[in-house]
Amino acid sequence: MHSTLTPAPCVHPKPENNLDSYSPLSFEAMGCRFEMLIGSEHASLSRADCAAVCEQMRGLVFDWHARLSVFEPNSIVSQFNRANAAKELPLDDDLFDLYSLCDRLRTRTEGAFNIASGTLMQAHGFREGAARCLDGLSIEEPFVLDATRRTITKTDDRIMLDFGAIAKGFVLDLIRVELDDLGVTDAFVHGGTSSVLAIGQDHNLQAWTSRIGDGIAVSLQGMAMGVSEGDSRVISENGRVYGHVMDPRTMCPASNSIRRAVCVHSSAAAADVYSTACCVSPDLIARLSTDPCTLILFEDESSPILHDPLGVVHISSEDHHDRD
Amino acid sequence: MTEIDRRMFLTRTTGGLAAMALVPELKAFGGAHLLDQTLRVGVVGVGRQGREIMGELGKIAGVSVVAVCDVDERRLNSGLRRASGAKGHSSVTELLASGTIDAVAVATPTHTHREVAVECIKAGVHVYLECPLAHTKDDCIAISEAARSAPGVIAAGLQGRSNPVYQLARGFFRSDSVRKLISMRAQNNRKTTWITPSNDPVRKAALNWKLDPLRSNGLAGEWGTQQFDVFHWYTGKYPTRVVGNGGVRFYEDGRTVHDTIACSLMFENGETLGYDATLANSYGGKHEKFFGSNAAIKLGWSHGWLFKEADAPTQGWEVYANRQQFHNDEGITLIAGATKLAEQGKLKEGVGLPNPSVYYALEDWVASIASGGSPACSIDEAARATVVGISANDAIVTGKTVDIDLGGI
Repeated sequence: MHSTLTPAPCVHPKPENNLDSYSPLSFEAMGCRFEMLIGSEHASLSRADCAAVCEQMRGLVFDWHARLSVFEPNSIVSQFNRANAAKELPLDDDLFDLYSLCDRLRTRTEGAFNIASGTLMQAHGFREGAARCLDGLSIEEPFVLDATRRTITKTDDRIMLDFGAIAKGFVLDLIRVELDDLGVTDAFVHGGTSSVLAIGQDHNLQAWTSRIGDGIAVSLQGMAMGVSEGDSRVISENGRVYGHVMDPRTMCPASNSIRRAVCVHSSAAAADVYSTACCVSPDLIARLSTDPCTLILFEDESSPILHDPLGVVHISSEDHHDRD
Repeated sequence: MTEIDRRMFLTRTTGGLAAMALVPELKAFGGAHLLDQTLRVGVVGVGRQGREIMGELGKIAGVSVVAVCDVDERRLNSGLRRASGAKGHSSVTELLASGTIDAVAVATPTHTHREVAVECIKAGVHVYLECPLAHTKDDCIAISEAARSAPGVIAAGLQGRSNPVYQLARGFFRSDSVRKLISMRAQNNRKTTWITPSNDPVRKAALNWKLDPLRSNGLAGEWGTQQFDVFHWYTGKYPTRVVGNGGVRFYEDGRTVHDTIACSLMFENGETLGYDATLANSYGGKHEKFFGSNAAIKLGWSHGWLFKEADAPTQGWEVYANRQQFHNDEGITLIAGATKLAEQGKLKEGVGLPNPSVYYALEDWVASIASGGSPACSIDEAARATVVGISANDAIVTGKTVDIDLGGI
């Protein structure tokens, strides 16, 4: 079995402004690069204060990275993954809320999103260590949450969690709360270019804008955007190539024609999850759009399937210049 | 014996055992302890450091964070979200009066340590106190005196002393691996503003005590103390004089606490420890180095390396030791718990500690409570290191040579 890692250049956010009065900060966490622009023009913050705000957000991301990473041997998730089904594990309020959110989103996406996909990542060779047999295993109800005792218990020893499809969106939602608390009115944050949060306006008093392909721009005033690609990481086995996105309903790598799915939503966590779910199950676009969100699916770059009740998508016949 | 068998034998026995045998003071990696009953801990001060302490305490079997305390309501609320079922308190007096705790971990600002620590020690609970120990020498003495008659285990958070890599490296140092000690250096470089943001001016002033020269001992005191103690612990000596300088070289925001410093701590026998720190550049991060005539030791908190001179005597196990290249130098990786890992064929997996240093300090404290033994770092040791840090800051701020007076501790 051979795995190949390829970069995932899902989206190229381009704040449409003069960046001179913004304080950019970038850092590596959650397997990607986060970049932040804090608007100093419209808030009562000095440049040093803006940098301090960015550092505080970095601390928040590092904190959750340490808790949720499957690559940190003593993270809470790694401890869960090592535990057996009889073990009742305590949860603090922050974690309980996260698990509850994941449970709700699993239901909302009809099982196309499931944090127990870590089980499948392991079984199909996307994780280090021996593959585990999936015989007789169901991940439909991977754990039991006890709201009274604030505990979580696996339903099967083999269940392994992976928050990869929601972690960045989840921390972006926390960042939004923190920024609001600090009085920051204008900010643009992205994690790995695939999870984006835009608060307020850019320097030109316009909505922050991200491009998601040639000629397609998305206005993101107060909204978040999640982008998923089905084939950013692949593994080949017996001459067949599989994408890294798992379909929890079939317990196998997802197989469909969607190359990229984009979701714009008020919640960054939901945006991330819905974009992943649509990669797994494109037919969800009709049912998920009952939420106030915009969904764009790309089978190829030229003809996106678009559902845009938010009216945030702008399609131009002229290619934009890449201003990187 | 085949080559592979021989290599395996050497790796699993000679190399690992040599590392262990040279380190009589190295505690068992993993810090087994046996508490009679759940240790109920209250955490005082739940800013970033306090919340980290809460997270690390959560990893230790038999420990439960049952209460959190902070005078800042927002921090108290975020702390409570990290300790399900815990009770919140806005004062230490209220926390201690609740009668629900056996132990307290203190992570409040340095200048508040005396008041908090003395009250907790007098209440008879076990206390873990973050370092630097206090803001002034008088405060250090007050805490030290209170600790002397304490019924509980009072541990100070000079984390090098409980860090498995540092314990291992100290064994090498004290077994003469570096031979004649020539010089010592340490640095702490981080790109950070040192500002805690808030849009409430009163709250901002309270949170940003590190930038207030009346409440802060600057980079030498707040950061240097942890690192100075490594040298005290390794050499068994304290510097007697310090000279230094510093300035605000980068942050033009009106601050007066230096963002960049350098100092030289001098020992009685002529040995010198050079230290520098900055908030403007992160290159090299935080580390300590010992230069000897046979070898140098570099310590980076989660990692440690031994760099041998070409003419230093070779020991058999070194051939199979894990190594790391640094430009023209090759370091032998110091791996805590090498014997056990080698037996499992997992020596390389032991490179780097799986937990942050504060975990081992807390684990050592809990183990001391369970065993009734002494913690790795006593309050007196922490008081001495803190006074060294305070003196270094005085030298940097005044530009004068300062005699380090450890009398009274």
